[in-house]
Amino acid sequence: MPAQIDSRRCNRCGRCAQYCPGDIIHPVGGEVVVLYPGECWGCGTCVLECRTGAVTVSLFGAPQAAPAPSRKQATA
Amino acid sequence: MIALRTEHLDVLVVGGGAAGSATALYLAERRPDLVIGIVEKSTLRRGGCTATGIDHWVAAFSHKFFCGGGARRFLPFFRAALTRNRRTDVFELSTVGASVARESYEELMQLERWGIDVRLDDGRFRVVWGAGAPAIWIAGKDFKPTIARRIRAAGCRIWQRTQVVRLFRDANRVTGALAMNVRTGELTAFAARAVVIASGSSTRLWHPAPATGDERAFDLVYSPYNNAEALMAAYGAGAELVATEFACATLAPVGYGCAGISGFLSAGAQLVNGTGEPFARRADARLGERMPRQQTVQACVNELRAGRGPLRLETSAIAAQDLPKILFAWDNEVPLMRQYVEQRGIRLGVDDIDVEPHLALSMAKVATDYHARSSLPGLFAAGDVSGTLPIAVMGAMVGGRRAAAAVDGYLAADTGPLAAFRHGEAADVARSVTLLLDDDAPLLWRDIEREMRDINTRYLGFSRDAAGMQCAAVLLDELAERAEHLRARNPHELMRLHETRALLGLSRIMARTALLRTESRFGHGQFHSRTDYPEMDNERWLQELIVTRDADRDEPQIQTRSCALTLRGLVDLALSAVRVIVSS
Ligand SMILES: Cc1cc2nc3c(=O)[nH]c(=O)nc-3n(C[C@H](O)[C@H](O)[C@H](O)COP(=O)(O)OP(=O)(O)OC[C@H]3O[C@@H](n4cnc5c(N)ncnc54)[C@H](O)[C@@H]3O)c2cc1C
Ligand code: SF4
Ligand code: SF4
Repeated sequence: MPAQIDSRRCNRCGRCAQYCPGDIIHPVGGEVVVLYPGECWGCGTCVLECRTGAVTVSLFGAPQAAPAPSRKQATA
Repeated sequence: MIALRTEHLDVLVVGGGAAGSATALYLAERRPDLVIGIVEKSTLRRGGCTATGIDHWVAAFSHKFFCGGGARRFLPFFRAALTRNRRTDVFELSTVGASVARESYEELMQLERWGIDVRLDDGRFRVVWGAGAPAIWIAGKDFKPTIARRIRAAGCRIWQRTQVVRLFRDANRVTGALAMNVRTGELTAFAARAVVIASGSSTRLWHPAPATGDERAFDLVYSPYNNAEALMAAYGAGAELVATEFACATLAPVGYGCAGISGFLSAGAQLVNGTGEPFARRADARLGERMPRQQTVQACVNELRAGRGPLRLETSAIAAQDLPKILFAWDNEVPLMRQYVEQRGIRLGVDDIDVEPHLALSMAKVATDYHARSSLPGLFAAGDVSGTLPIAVMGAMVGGRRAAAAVDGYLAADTGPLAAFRHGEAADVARSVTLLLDDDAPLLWRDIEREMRDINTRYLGFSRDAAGMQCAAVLLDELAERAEHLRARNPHELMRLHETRALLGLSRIMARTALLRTESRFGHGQFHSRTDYPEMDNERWLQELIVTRDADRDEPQIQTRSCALTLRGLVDLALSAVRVIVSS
């Protein structure tokens, strides 16, 4: 379930890190990283705030550019 | 050593969600001369349950001119409030529900004045689905960002990513709070003449669905970042808490804790058990799927217990003309349920949704009177964390308006200077917080929280009995002793540590109050299911359990308080009735 950032589309603007209600995404050494994936609500605020479409919240490994792990595996 | 700053305010608002934002704005409009500070654990723009939007305004018993059938909807409520054996809520529902019925429309108009769209382009209101009460659409995605801009424009002082962890008080009243920046660890002591708690309901107390383990701890219908730190800070300062024994449960898609199933039920979807039987009418012959939500959950728990799972929601039972309403709402709010349906490839109106009971939040609140005043002078509360208003944005706004008025009145009467604030004590508390940081932390918050959730889910969750709750009380006390050794490696972990400790403190209270309530009850957001006392008992239990901290022994003291219909309740009911009948 956790949010995932596609680093190819991300321009490091930091909006997702600025607005994530759970303090899950942080800027780390020039990158913007989902630092605490196990604490992600899956609320989609980061998706709403991202202007380049770089963030996705994938619940069940649904179809998208980069195949995502199922949420069970991802949060384990 | 982390730096400690001191800030002086007239009013400190804890939490910048729906209720805290409304409180600050109303207060700033009433009293532009006051220095109002708002301290929010995340951000004003996206903090709280409404982070990504809301899709409906609970119009309570609204005007014919936007919903129709006002009197028809109001009468059952009116009757229930007056008929003792029908009341399922132990709160003083009569006053609260009825007055909210009157205020819901005014608050909606206030939202419009603040710049949030509540009508369609043709100037009319649009009814969307709602659980029980009629609900109308608002531009929910804009709700928080618009209000956040207003608060800035009103000149309030704002601290974001800042978590309140303690309240200060002198002999007579609350004098401020200690807060920590969750990114930098910087500590601030706020000296304030009045404090308003608006930190939302407490979540993360249970595994949301008993069968699933701790990996779903944050996968919740309600914000997993609303926990009990501010509530327990109020308790620590001596304020009364109420409703600590109640959980609030709902239904969610299997494996995904997301709001929205209630909307499907209101729209006509049917619940079916593993044998293909639509079982809701067996639980409530008259209302079926439209029975109150906590009863629906209990009916589902019973089906699962009887081995008649899994449970499904047939969306094909929704009338064709109602489906567009759901889609319309989705276009305008929280992307969660849409996200689920799209990713699962569910065709609405054709496919079923697998559902499961979901333990969402604790109903524990700072006890407040009608005016949002807590039992401590100088301390007020609004929104989900407060007294008795419905958990909805409408309730949060009504609470915010009342809190603003009450704070205004309190400050007008209060001539005491801020000198009562003890800087030495603030520095001591700050030092104790700093000591929790340790690079080699031997015990981290998650370990303790997981055990707490195991205990709560097993003994204080969907089914409770005396032996289990006594066992839980002992286990939680032991866990609290171990939690003394919790440490954090960085400010983010320190934030979670404070949350864990507060949740554990609340769990210990819940184990005691839930044991005392020798009945089962499924009121509005009041889930308390006892296998040893399966019936609701209004003769004995139309009362609240009030909890205060015995400072000498550091233990909860529990008293009962009647919540019979008051004169104020009767007047409110009568006024609401007149309004509804006139407009119908
Ligand atoms: C997904 C979802 C959809 C919903 N949809 C609707 C809807 O359509 N209509 C409706 O009426 N209601 C809806 N609700 C309910 C509604 O959002 C809540 O009832 C309402 O937000 C309550 O307001 P509040 O201010 O009490 O809590 P919140 O809005 O949750 O705000 C609490 C704030 O306090 C902050 N906080 C917590 N602890 C601290 C601390 N220690 N220090 C500082 N800050 C702190 C939190 O970060 C948060 O911002 C929905 C809820 C959810 C979760
Ligand atoms: S989905 Fe929500 S909680 Fe998760 S990273 Fe995005 S904004 Fe944060
Ligand atoms: S908001 Fe989008 S573009 Fe900006 S840092 Fe986050 S993922 Fe990257």
